[in-house]
Amino acid sequence: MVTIDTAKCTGCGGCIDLCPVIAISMISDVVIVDNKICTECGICVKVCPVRAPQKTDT
Amino acid sequence: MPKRYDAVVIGAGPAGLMAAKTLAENGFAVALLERKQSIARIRRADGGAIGINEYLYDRLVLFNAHHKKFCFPVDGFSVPYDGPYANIYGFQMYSPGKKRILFGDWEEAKRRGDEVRVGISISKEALLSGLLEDCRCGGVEVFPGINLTDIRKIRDSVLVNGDGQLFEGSFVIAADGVNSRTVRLLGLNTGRKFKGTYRYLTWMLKGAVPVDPGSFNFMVTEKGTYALYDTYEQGVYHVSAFNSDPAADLNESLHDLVYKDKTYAPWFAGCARTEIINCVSNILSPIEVPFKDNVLIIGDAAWIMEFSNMAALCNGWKAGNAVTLALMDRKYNKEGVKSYLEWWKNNFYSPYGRFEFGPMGGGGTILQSYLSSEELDYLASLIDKPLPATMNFFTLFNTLGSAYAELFPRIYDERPEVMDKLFALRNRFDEIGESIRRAGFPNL
Repeated sequence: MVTIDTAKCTGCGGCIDLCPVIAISMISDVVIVDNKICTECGICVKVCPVRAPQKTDT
Repeated sequence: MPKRYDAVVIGAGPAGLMAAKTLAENGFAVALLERKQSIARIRRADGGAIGINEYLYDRLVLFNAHHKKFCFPVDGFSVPYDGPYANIYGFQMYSPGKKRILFGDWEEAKRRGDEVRVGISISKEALLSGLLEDCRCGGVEVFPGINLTDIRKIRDSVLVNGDGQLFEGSFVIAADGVNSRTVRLLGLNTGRKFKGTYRYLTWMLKGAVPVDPGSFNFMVTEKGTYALYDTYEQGVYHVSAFNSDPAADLNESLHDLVYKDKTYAPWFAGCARTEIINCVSNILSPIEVPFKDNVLIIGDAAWIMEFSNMAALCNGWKAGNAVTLALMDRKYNKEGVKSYLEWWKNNFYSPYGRFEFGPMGGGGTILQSYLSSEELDYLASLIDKPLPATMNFFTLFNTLGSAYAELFPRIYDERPEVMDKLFALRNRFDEIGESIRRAGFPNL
């Protein structure tokens, strides 16, 4: 699954905009991944300038 | 049941706020949706500047500090601004060995100040706060913390779903920025040419950096391409690394400049890093007719790249008035907003929509992979007189291009091997552009 390191995330929204399946949204100014929709394509991980999204095994 | 409005505006940046404010002032019921909770807080890297006193997109902005207003004499409106500001006098470009190409006479700038400024750095938060206040006073219903999830036309109006809340409007104005979700949901990105995914990382630094006050600096070092500029707040600087290659580590790139570069790191000694901001921009060709299913697309959402605060405000103002006319004339269709669509085509799309900045805009190390630091120093040192001051990037590119075109015979004479490399770079523009596209992530 993909999680966002909220300590690193600046809230720029780049991952929200580029997620191909629209699995990411901004709730109370924090970026949140809906792992029910996420396909783990990894674009958010690659695109984030501060490397806040992380893929983890579960 | 959805709440019904005359217009729903998506996105509360300068374009959306200006559109909502204009519609409300004209007496219409407006909902303004924004995904951020704290609307005016800037969480995306931004130049924080506005060009004044010179034409950009054939329009002008004047700043009246006494009346606390930006005035737009070409279109005939003004925008209140009572935040802090500082003058900008132009661009400077630095080579790896600190050779400098100047735009503007910096001695003049020190002497004549306001008279020769070409821009001012502003607090974008203050600009947005002022507009938001005007919106609220004018009766705009503001909905923060709403992500757009669906948008569709039903009979004569548009239904907008934001995280399950429904809003209905005769028109929707989409002002949700360079990576617009509205445009994507409407399927309009598929007709656009994708040019790459550009990433920016900015460190906010406090201290004393030895650049000219009011200079907007571009720096090319051995390891990267950077922008460095002071802000409206004295002693606060922004330094940004940018790159069109998603594999590049922007944080490492800024570390290289600020802590390791033998030429530039000393500039930042004693600076404290106070904040990190960043952004990601997908570059797509502009939309010729930014209208579909009663949704009018304005600002960066319909443009090639990040527009400018000035153009965003103009777009919002014009869109607010165009939708007003459509509502007054009861023309709930494309014909109703033709005053905007014609204005867009005549002033933005036709004259500027096909401008190609070329792959150099991608930053990173594209230039450095063709030319050594010594060769870049040589090329920078050839321009020994200041070029005209400007904040207009079209003028900037054209001025620099013609200056070098004149120097080609001299370069060919003095350093034929450098000329060969410049030709090689030029001949590979398409190839470089293609590799930037391939590395990116189109949000089609």
